[in-house]
Amino acid sequence: MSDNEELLASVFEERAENLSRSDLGNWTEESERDREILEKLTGPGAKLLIGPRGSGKSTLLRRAYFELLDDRRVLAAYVNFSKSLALEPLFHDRADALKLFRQWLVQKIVQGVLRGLEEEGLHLDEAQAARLEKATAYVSTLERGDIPAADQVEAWAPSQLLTWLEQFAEALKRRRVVLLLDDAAHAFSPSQQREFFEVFRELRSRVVSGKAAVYPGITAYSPHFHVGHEAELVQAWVDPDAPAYLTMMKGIVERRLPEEMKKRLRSQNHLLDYLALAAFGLPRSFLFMLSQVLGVEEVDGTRAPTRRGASRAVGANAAAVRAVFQALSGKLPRYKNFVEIGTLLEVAAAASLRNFNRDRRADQKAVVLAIPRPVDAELERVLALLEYAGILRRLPPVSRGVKGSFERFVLHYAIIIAENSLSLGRAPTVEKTVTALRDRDAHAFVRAQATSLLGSDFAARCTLDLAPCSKCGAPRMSDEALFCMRCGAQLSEASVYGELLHASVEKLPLTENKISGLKAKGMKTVQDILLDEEGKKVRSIPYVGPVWAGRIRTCAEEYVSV
Amino acid sequence: MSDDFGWAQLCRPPEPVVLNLAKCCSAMDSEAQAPLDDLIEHVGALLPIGAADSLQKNSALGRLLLLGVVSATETFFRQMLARAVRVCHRCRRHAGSRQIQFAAVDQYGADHVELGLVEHVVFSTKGELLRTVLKVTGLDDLAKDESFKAALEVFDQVCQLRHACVHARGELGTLNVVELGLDSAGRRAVHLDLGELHQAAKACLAVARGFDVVLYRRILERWMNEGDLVGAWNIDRNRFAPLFKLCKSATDGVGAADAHAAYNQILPTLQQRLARRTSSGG
Repeated sequence: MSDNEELLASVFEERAENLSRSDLGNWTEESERDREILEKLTGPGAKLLIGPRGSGKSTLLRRAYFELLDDRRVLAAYVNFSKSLALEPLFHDRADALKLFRQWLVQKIVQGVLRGLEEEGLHLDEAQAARLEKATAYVSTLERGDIPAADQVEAWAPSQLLTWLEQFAEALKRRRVVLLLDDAAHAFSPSQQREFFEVFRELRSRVVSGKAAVYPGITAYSPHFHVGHEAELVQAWVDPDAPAYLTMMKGIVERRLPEEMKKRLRSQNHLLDYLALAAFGLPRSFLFMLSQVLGVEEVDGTRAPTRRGASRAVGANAAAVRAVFQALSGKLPRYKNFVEIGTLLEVAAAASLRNFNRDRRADQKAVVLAIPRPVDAELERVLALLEYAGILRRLPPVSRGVKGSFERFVLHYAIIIAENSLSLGRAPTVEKTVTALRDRDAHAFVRAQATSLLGSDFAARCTLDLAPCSKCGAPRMSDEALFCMRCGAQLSEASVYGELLHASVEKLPLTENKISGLKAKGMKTVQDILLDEEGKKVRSIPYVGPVWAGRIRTCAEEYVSV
Repeated sequence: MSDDFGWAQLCRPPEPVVLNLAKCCSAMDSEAQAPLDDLIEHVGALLPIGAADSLQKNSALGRLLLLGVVSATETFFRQMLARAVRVCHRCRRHAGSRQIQFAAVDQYGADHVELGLVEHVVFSTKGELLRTVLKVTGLDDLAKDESFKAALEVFDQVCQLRHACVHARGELGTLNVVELGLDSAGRRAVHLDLGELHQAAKACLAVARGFDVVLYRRILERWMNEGDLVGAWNIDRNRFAPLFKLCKSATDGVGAADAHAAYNQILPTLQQRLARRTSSGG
């Protein structure tokens, strides 16, 4: 890779975990809001950092991590659990799967703590180095799909890990221990999720505190874990309506892009505002759209950004967000019907807003959907799934006295723009769109009943999609039934991880050109991309350089992770 | 004064009963399939009786079904151990010093007399199961398999529930509460809804499957280590095929389709062990 290619690969690297410490420091804009969050992440007390994919959770956790490493008064560990789905097949093959998973969690934390010391530049003694080696080997074995030998590592209960952390901190004369736990939601395996929160709950004391990054909507906590009581919720998702939002997003351009690219954007302030709003508070989406508008790794890679290019980028972003939502059908197959209803709800919401906004002035337009409380359980599930994908952002409920109280949701701005839900006429200018989004009435909302959006029978369609009995074909009576109530055969569920690996590349949130390119090179499944570890095959696709190669790999990795 | 206490009428008087034992104790078919398949079939016949609303309305139903499932699991262990003694000469030799009831010879006949070794054993805790396995087969390290050990732990919990269902109409005794790690304050009874009954049944099948695999492996390993297999199918089949037939579940339908294919799977390991024995002069 040439120096320029490497630079571009880093500039447009969307995942904070893959950025070097210096790049992360140089390229990340810190706002007052960020500072407040970082204080919470580096301070005492358990925290849950909540936000959809691409909202900056990993960036915040890693920045907190590097601050603590520099501080040296606190023992810090950054641990990423994104590979937890690789352990999911264990839950179909082994009765001790929970025990193995728990030990994977524990050893990843041990690994994180000891690596943190190495990153501080400290030398590990022989015992610590041996412990790190064993923890690493144990974790790698499980993530490969193999079973470690029983004596490969000294198995610790969470309470033993807690004791070790406290004693280790004392020996190193550190005041506290902070565990920064990324991708901790384990959202696609209820057993893993419960187990994680049980461990998280135990890893706290006067000295030790954990901060876990979770997704909104679909994170289900263990029965003993009471959110708010056991951990404080910290919102990572930047509010696109915040006064400083546009400045913050444009700060990413200033800090991150090479001079040549900044020059091309300099006179395009309105385009930057447009893309920033379409990113809907997600820095990753902003970077994605910027790379498209700038034609990175495209034929006309030096073109000037245009309104048409920006509009296409926004459309691609809307498609990518929808693809994340659609992928839930594969990751949570029993919620397939809910995902279908969610797609209809999104379309209906966009249409409902469009109707409302027709003939309304810019300062009267709405982007908020309000659903009367209490919301039906089925609809709540659909809304939660849409929240996870970032299609909807939940706002605090509002009461209108005798008219009732409402749950409020903002529809993703990229979708609002792509579907012309602001009713701005055909091919509105970028300026008009930005004005409509910024100047709209912050209190306006469209009231909608679920039945008017989805039909009177929608609740009946919100059923769990449970595979029928493979022996006699009888429908499965309920989620709880593990045996067929007609023939008595044990009901089986395929491994989610296995199914995701064998999913077609068409399921990934990539452009059609890239999908065609992958298939032309014989990469038809997600697994094919993952097996191409050095990216040689992916890089041989036309117009795929390091940026797109990284993005394709990220898509594949995220498809098979939480 | 008469002694008949005619004045002590507290309830209806007891009435005479004659059980038609010949009618209610009928002849049994001999086992035709693998014990695991027998268990799966039996559990499959029981569970559909427990519809969700029936279980909610009548807590006795869940308890009775639990008893049925655990009883079937105990029968599985008995059948496996008895037939292991039949197919494995080393298990048979080890069991040689154990006593059986004389009547077992007539009851089970020469073909199934091994059942007499295990008919009075109650597999109501994991400890009793492992002890019996050791006594009958000489194998003492089944619980070293972590997956089987985990399954055994949960089965142990199911057995505690079963104990309450058998002896106290579902009320958990002090020991049950202690063993289950429950809060000891207040009396508790077992009540199983659909989900919990199915989880308990799954636990029984899990421990049975775990036992099936572990017993197969350990018997084979012992044969390999002791030179009981020579690495030639035409010679080893007489020993190997009955063991495979004992442990292979036709219902689960996974793995090698027949004994020869299963033998070919273990052949590389067997050849390595044979080579080691030869080089060490064993």
